Amino acid sequence: MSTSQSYNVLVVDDDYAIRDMLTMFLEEEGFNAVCATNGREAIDLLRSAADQPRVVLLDLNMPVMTGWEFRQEQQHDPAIANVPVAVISADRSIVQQPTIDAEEYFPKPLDLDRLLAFIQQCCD
Amino acid sequence: MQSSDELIAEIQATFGIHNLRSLIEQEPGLLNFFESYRAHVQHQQESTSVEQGASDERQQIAAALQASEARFAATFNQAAVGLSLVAPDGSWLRVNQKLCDIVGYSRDELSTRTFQDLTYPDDLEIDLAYARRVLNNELDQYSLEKRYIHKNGSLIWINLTVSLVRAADGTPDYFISVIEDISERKRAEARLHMLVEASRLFTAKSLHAPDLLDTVAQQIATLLGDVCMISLISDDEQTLKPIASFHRNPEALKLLHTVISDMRLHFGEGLQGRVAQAGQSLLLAEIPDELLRNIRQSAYRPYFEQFGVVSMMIVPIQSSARFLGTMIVARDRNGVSYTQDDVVFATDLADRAALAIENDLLYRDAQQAIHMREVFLSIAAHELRTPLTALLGNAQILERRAMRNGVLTERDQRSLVIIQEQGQRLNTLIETLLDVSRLQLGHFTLSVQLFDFSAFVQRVVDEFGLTLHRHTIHATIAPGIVFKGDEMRMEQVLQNLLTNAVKYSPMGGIVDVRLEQLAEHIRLTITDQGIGIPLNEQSRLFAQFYRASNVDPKRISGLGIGLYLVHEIVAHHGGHVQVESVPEQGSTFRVYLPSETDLPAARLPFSSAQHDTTERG
Repeated sequence: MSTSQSYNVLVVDDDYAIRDMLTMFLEEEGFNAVCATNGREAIDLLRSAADQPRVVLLDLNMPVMTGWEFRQEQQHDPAIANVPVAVISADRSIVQQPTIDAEEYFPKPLDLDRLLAFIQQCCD
Repeated sequence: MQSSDELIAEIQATFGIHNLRSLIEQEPGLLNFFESYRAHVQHQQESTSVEQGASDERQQIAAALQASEARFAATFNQAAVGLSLVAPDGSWLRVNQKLCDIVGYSRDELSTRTFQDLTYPDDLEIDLAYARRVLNNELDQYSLEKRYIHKNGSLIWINLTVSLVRAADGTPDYFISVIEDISERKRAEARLHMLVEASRLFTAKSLHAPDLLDTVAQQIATLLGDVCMISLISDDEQTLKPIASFHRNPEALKLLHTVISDMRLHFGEGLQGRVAQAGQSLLLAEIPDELLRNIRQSAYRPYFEQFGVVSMMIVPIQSSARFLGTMIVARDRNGVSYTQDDVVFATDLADRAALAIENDLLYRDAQQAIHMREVFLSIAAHELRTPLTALLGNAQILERRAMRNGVLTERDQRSLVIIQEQGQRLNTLIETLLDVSRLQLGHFTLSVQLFDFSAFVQRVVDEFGLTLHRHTIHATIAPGIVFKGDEMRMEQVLQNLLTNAVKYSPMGGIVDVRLEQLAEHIRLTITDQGIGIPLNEQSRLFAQFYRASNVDPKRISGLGIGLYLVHEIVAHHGGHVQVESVPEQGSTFRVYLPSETDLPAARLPFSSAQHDTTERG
């Protein structure tokens, strides 16, 4: 994890294999990704970074601080509230009946083509 | 010597008592009585007929008459059943000691009363009606169960047998009544009836835990009065806690509730604790002074001062498997003391209550187990999905890399496609398992919108057709049908039915798909030429995990949840599914969906769903 270099995607997921897969994918597609393993880490990263990322990919069920709690805290802090968030969740019903306010919802397993299109749109 | 049979026959003829034999079987002493009575009557008749004869003879006869009178009086008095001679007007001419015992009056007291005075008013009319018929010669005798009022005011059930003795000229002389006290039997019958009734009630309630014990307490307080309190053992098996109570007086019940609300008894402590430990009933016919002192010093004091307690039973509630709790039954001051008989009855009731409680516990255990299973399934499905996400993600990365660099051979490319296809298939299976648990937990919701159903069916059928080798799809789709529902869920329905049609016709054939707009429904029909479904199994086909018996699981595998999901999804849309099948010829499934506006509002998804903690990200 690095906070010194600038990055454009923040990946928040408690599962190592998913963080690893997403960072590799994003790097190969020309993005800089930084990872957090729970909401607390993500909040700390957002608050300490010189440059805000262009988008946050947010898992929901995580230890320490869940995705829902992260989103609440983020939205109450004007300094970081404007960073767009896309939810990545194994609960497919999140797409149809969102339980959290977000820009976009991607069910797991992820459709990387769709995810890439969304991230590109955020970074334009 | 006459044989007893001959004697009985003769006595029957003399008095017209047809059921003498059964009376004597019940009460052998009666034979002596009737024998002496008959002899006495004979001597009386002889004495009138020889009145004009020699004085010697008269004296002889008078002596015999006196002797038979004495013998008759003795057997009459010593009989173990109540006996009476009653004048046609109902006044008692003669009563024996047993009858006095039964009704609680002395002979003198009875001589100034009639049987009408003692008969319970409700039972008088039928008795009098029978007596009239006997007097009118319509009946020789009668027998009935009726109630007397004891001198102390309580009711006594008796079995009464009445015969009429007529004078030589045929005019009614007096009735002979045999009176048997059957109160015991009647009470046993009533209690048996109550037990049956209580069992029925307890079992009927057994699936509604909160009401069950209240019902038990109420029944028992009503049957055995005045108050019943049920305490159950805690989960740690250390304490007893009052769970349900009932008092016939609502005011007393209110007071009792405030007394016991926080009460907990430790095992082995107090009378209840002792009963709990020993597992044996305790009868306190009268409350010992020491206990009265204890009660006065306990939380029960306000209750006790107002209502008192005269007698008490404490009965364990235990099933064959375990001790469940105790039941206290008590009577307020002025009540009657309990007897050992009451304890037996209370124990019977407690046993039945125990069975109901045990059933209820088992039911709740089972419900808990089902819930655990569904929660587990839900968590497991999500846990499976996480590695699948990494797996499929990496396959997609590999594919993109290969497209950029062009380094994969055609064979590698094919393997990659298979990895992705099979990963998707695994994902669908996981989703299916999740759907089952969502349905079980009541978390299944629809995302409803209006869509072109004809185009939708056409698309799914076209895509499905591409995967077929041995089968041909014939589709007849009426155009322009719109439907308001969850398109993704409906795709599951159609996919499942099409997959089944192919899966259960392993030799190939035609799969016919038809979509029609009926008056009130949209009908989707899928017909195959497969192995079919045995007729007697067609109704169970939509049950969870059910697989028809003509499917060899070694040849055609499956979880048995596809049709369950089809049925549930269609039902959530307010529709229904019908099946028609002939084994070895094929099956037809018809899905009826309500036309656009008919979707019931209750089936719409929640507008503000809370996040579900059982579903993990």
